[in-house]
Amino acid sequence: MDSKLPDVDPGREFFDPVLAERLATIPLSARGPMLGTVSGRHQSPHRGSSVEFAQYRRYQPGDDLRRLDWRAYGRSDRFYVKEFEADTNLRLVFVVDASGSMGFGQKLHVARQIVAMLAYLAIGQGDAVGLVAAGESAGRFIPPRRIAGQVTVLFNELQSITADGPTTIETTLHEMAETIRERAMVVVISDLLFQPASLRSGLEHLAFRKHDLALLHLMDPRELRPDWDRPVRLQDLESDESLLVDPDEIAAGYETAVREFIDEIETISRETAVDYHRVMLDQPIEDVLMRLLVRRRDTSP
Amino acid sequence: MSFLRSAALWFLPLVLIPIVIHLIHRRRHPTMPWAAMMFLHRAAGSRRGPAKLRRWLILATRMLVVAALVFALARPLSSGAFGVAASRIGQGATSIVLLDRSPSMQRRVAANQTRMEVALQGVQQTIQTLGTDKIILIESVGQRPIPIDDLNSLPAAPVCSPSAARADIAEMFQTAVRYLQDQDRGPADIWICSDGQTGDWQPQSQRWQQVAMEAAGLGDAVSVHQLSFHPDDQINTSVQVDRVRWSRAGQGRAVLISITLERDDPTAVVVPVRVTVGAVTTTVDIAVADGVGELADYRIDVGQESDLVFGKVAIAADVNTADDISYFVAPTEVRPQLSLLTETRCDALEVAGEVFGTLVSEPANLAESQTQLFGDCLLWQGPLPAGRESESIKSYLDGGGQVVFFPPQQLIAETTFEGVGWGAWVDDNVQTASLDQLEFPIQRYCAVEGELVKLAEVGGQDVLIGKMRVGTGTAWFCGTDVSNPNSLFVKDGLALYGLLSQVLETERADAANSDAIAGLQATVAFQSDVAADPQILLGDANDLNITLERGFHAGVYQLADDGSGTPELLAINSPMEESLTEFLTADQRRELVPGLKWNEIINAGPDQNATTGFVREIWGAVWVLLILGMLSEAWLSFPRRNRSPA
Repeated sequence: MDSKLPDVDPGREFFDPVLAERLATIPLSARGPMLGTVSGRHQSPHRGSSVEFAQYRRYQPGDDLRRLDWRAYGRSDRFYVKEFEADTNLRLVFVVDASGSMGFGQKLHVARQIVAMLAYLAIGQGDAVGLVAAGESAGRFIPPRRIAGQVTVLFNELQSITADGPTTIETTLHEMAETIRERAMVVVISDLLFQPASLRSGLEHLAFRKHDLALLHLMDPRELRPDWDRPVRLQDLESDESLLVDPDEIAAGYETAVREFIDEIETISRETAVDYHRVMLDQPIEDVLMRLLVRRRDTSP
Repeated sequence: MSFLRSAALWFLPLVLIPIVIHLIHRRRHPTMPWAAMMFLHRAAGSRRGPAKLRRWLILATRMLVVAALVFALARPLSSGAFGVAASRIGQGATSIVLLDRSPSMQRRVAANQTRMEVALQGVQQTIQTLGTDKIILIESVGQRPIPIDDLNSLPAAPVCSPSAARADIAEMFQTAVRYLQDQDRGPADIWICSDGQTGDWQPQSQRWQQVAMEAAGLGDAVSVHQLSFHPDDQINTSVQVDRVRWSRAGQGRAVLISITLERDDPTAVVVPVRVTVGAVTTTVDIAVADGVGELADYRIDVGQESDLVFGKVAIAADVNTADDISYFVAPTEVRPQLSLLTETRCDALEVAGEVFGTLVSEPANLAESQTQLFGDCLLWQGPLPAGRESESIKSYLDGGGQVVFFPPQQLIAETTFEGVGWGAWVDDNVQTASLDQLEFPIQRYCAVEGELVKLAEVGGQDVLIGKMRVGTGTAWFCGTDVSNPNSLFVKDGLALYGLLSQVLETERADAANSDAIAGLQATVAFQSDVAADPQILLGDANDLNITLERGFHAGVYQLADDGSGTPELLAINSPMEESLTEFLTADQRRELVPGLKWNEIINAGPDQNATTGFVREIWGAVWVLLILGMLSEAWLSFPRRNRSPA
């Protein structure tokens, strides 16, 4: 990492600068070519002026004559233009689920940690980072920028997100698909506690716009293995609904429901080519991010 | 099921406690925030049934445990039908025990326990459990109501020992009914300790109709509890001496014993039988096929010195030892008495008569004479009797006499006796005739004509000697001349002696059958004759007070000397019908006295635990139920381990 890491105000409890220093050794990579506005460390779909040869192409009127390969002309009596790979910067947009269910346990806190860390790393390597919260009380959309104060803007926005109301992530994904015109890397962070069909719709829309999608699925261990030892009344965090549950009655069916849900999410992710990561809240955040960065680095072009 | 402390059943509503606790518990659940409601919604639709069933099972087992606890406090009794008896305790119900002591009740159904012991023990423990105070015993020998003070002494009491006599259940039942009518009209339970053997119950007896009529007046106050034994597959063999008679064939004195074996199995087997006379025991094998084996006239040599010959025939002990020994007494040996009626002097017949027995005086007027004066056998030589003579002879034959007819010198044509007569005299060459395996020469004869059994013939077609049954006696016809001393038949002599030997053997066999009938009558008289003062010479009742139950135990008895100088012996055996496997069903028994309430106790037969009463407190079962209920509740309540889908 040759870029200079941005300065961060102390007192952000969801940001660990020491961990950021350790993770900065691994670049945040896109899985495909990106369209950036400036030169960067990510591959561009256009040919550029880097030192890395890409291909020969027949000359077409209007091409820069400086790129004609005269040696090739001498050998074949035809005009060829020599093309090189172009590097550009990355547009990174975070979509954070701010529905009421994200208030269960440390979901929202972990979401803040992930966003803060990845945003910090991306800005540090010269990429533009934006953020949108999907929820009833969600704030404004912060478009991706690579300015120095963007970290502070993002962190302030993260700080202000609260988990409340029903999820609006499907709507948000569609809006992002229409809003972000250039290719970007879209990272969705949610517990996905809504109908998987609506998730498929939003992801397909983004994929259609050729965005690089990453889905970080937050799960609390208690949701996998409820720790009730007696009948309890459970109050829904997204509505007024409550349900009286006998653990003995529900145990087997609950386990099946969770298994089917996870299978369904993984199927959608595979079919929509989403980079899916399940994040258990009891896992160290460093392991989660390390796994994400390494896998993306290994799958980048 | 019934209870000794039924007041405790008022606590039964306590079984609702688990339901109340369950309902209270359901209202005290905590409220928790939850995000993954969609999983709950999905889970609620599936696998809820088994969990709900489990919850209900837990509730049911908790209620069961409480109920078992209440039942334990109420002291439950087993055998629901006998709960009727338990409920009468407070009313002071009388218990009347009818005990069948017959040989069929000696059949072993459990290890070293007979049916009678199992039944008696069960009734004893039942009555003890119920705590009934007033107990009356009516057993099959005495058939009198005997008040019982100490139940524990009942099994060992002499009045509860096995007997060789069959039981008369109808009379016992009538005694019980009359006892209740005369002395105790309160509620009562009649406990019948009998295996339902047809010979003991005599369902065709007219007495049952009387019993039914008399019992009808008792109404619902009396309940009858009858014990039933399931038929078992153990094979029983019984032995009986059919006939004992003296034999003079061969050398020395001997008795001929006829033995019958009956077996509950058609398989052919050979059964060794021990015959004991005095101190001498011999063993003979008898083949048994299709359930029956017979040995006729088994010869036992006896000494010259004693006129009292008795003994026993025994087989190896089997499932019922009561019919494994049969006692016998040889009849008093007497010389047969013969009478002689001839038209001319017949020296041959006179000599033969003196050899075989004693000649009685010739009756002066045959027509008017008493037929018993003929003795055991009448030797007739002359024209066949006719008119009143014929009537007199037939009367003698009907009474079991033996008459041997020899032809006169001058035959009267067309004269017959009972359709049998002689043909004309034939005087021809000497021919050979045979009687049994004895061959003898014959020259002059007249053929016996008529329907009779041919014993000897001559010339291949003419009957020389024959016999026919007349009443219970036998008429013998011989076609040879016995008045002529030069007759070859007389001169040879062997055929005449052989014929008379057969005649007297037949007479003895008939007499032995008559003795058996007389013996039975003597047994009945003996059993009821207090003055008989018997002494047991052989048998299994030595340790009993014989004077109390004379003649109801198998053995050989010597009766008191009546002054004749010859002691009289009597053999008592169990009736052969006691060995039959014919039993009345519970319904058939119930129909005998339909006016009463009948309960049936099913005895499991060989597997019956004979140490338990028919009615007993079932603490053990209640506690087992309690423990099982608690274990089940714990198992059902144990938290199920949930597997993580991750």
